[in-house]
Amino acid sequence: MRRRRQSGAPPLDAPLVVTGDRKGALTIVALDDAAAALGLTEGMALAEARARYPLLEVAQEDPAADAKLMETAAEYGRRWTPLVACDAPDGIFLDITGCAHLFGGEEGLGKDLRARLTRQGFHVRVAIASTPGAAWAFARFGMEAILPAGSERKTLAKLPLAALRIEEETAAALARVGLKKIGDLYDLPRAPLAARFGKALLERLDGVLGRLEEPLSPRLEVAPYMAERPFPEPIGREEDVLGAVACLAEKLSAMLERRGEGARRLELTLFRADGAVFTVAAVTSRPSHDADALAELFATRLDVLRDELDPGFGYDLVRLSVLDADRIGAAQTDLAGPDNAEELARLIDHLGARLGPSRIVRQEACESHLPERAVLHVPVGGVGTSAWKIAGPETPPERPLRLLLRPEPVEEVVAMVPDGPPARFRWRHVLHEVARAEGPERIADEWWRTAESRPTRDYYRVEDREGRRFWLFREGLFLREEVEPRWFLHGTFA
Amino acid sequence: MRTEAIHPAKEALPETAVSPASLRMAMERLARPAADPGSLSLGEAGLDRTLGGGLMRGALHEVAPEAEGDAAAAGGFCAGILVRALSVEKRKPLLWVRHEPATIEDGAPYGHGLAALGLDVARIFFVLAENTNEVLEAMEHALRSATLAAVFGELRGTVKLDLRASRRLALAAGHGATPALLLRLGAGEQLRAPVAAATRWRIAALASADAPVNGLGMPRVKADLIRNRRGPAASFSLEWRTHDRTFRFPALRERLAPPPVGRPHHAPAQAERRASA
Repeated sequence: MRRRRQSGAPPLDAPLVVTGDRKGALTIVALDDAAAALGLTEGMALAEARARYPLLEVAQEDPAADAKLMETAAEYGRRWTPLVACDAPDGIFLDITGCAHLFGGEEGLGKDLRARLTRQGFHVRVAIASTPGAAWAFARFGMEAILPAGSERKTLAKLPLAALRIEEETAAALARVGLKKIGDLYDLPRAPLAARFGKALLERLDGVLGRLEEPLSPRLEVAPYMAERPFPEPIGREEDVLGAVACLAEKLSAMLERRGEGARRLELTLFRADGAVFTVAAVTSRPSHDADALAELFATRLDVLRDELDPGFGYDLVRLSVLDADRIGAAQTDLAGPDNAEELARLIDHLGARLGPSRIVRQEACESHLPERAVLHVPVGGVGTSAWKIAGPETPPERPLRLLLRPEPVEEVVAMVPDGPPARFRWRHVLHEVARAEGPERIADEWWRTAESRPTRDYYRVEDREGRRFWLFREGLFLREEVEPRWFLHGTFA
Repeated sequence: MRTEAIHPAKEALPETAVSPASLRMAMERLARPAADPGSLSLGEAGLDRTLGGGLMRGALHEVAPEAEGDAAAAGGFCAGILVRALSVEKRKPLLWVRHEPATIEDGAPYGHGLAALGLDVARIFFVLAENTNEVLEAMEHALRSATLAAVFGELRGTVKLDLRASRRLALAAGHGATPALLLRLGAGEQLRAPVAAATRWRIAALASADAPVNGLGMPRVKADLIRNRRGPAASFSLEWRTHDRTFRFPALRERLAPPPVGRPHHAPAQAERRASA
């Protein structure tokens, strides 16, 4: 598929070719119908084409933009099936097993797909077959067709060997011995073929004929629960979208309830009539199949994302999927007790929808000597299990209230060598005279992280004359690791 | 301006028969103020009395460091209040709304340090807000839900917090009967603006008690109560006791109930006059 003409291109009647650097020469890599009608072909040198038709409109290829465009098209492909795989540079696989009946059979789906993508400016070739390999071969080398199941062997026989997605050299080598069509391989003994042309050839052949399962690697995970609603007349107003979401949430809720499950991670997909696709994600802090709560989650999220979502001419398909579900009642954090757990979950979900789910976190203690690694920020929803050490009676905290994002160097440090606490230091332009100090507490590098070995740190808790408390460390052992150890401030105490 | 300030200190001691038993009862009541559902006791009787029973639950309380260097001390004071809130509401968690500029400037609240002050870190939800609006919005929403032991927000920078914004918080706090605590760091001149808070505190670090071998003692702060809806303005020296999860007056803690150090509302600026020749 190729978009035939980028917007903003000058006179529509001038034949357009797209060129790229191939083996040091500017070569035509794509062309429009008008250019093809002039007898130009892919692979022709631009100089030659120009010599023939000076009026040619020439554009540079842009592989990155092409790839992005194909990604968009693949995203759009999700309206027909959740199983979409990209086949770079110019193909898309759709696994329509079990989906075709929703669009009036395979023929109906093919027609719908062709019509929609053509309207978006793509030049489309569609083939439907029982194996990805056969569909690929027909989309590129045969006529566009819907192959009835079981007929692949017969219909593919006439196609050239290149249709097997084998390397050019292999195809050329096969041609030299007189093998040109796929059918030529059918009755040959397999072992010599594999020995001479490689195992890949037979694998491709088996894949095309369905003797070998060829898995597609879908771009996105497939949702266990999904509900969608098409709109023959695209909708764009916010309340309409919210209405659709509420209605879909109701459907999902019924499905979830039947299986005793609740949604943990959801995704709303909005298909715009012109091919743009928006996805909005939401998570819940505990499994829920409450339709109102789920709809409200997206209402909040959509409200936040209002500026990013441009309904344009409207959405013609709205889909709500549950990406992760859990048994209701299982794996719940019983933080709030039974009375207001529900309400608390609602609050956390609302805040998550408002600010983004990753911005509501809890802290977990983590086994690490390095202070900055000893705390993990985990998104809510998980079960908090870590035990935090609480100081014994009458011991001042050994760890700071706040830890700086990274240790900050301090200057003008006066300290006794080799391992005395600092008597004075300057941090952020302020000079602090140390009145009390405790330490050192030696924190050595974790030996298993050999890749990024760090010098030893000696930590001191100090209090200055005003009673302000700091956590400082000296990096490196005096004279052993460093000639002149550097001092850093890592945190502040209450 | 509100004028109906209540002075609960007046009804502290009954003036009837003075027997040792009744005196002891009175002393005990002083030491442990009656459990008042509308107030959060800070654990030190004298402090609670000045506050009219403790920090008002459904109200906003503002805490700010006296100088830039006292930010950590102010944070520690807030942490102490949060420990108190969690120990009263044993089934409810706590929401801590972080402000991105505060994280950059002052660092992130550190679980091990919070635990060392007695905070149950497993019961804290942290909200990572990027700007003032997000902080205020998250706080307001959380306060309304009435599912939390306390809501704590931090704001860093010369953020203009007008009466309207703070009143919204105060109303939300009243709605859910949840204490709202706001720590304002680096607010500078903006702190002079009126705020719809039940109490306003200015916190400074205080040198800790002498410990053996030059070590550090328990954290101490000087807490200036510059606005108090239910009592007079006052200034306290407070020491945090992790083990008892309570604030104590440090120097006088052996005595039963030391009176708060009174402080005039407006210290008269004494301009020194120079005699001109």
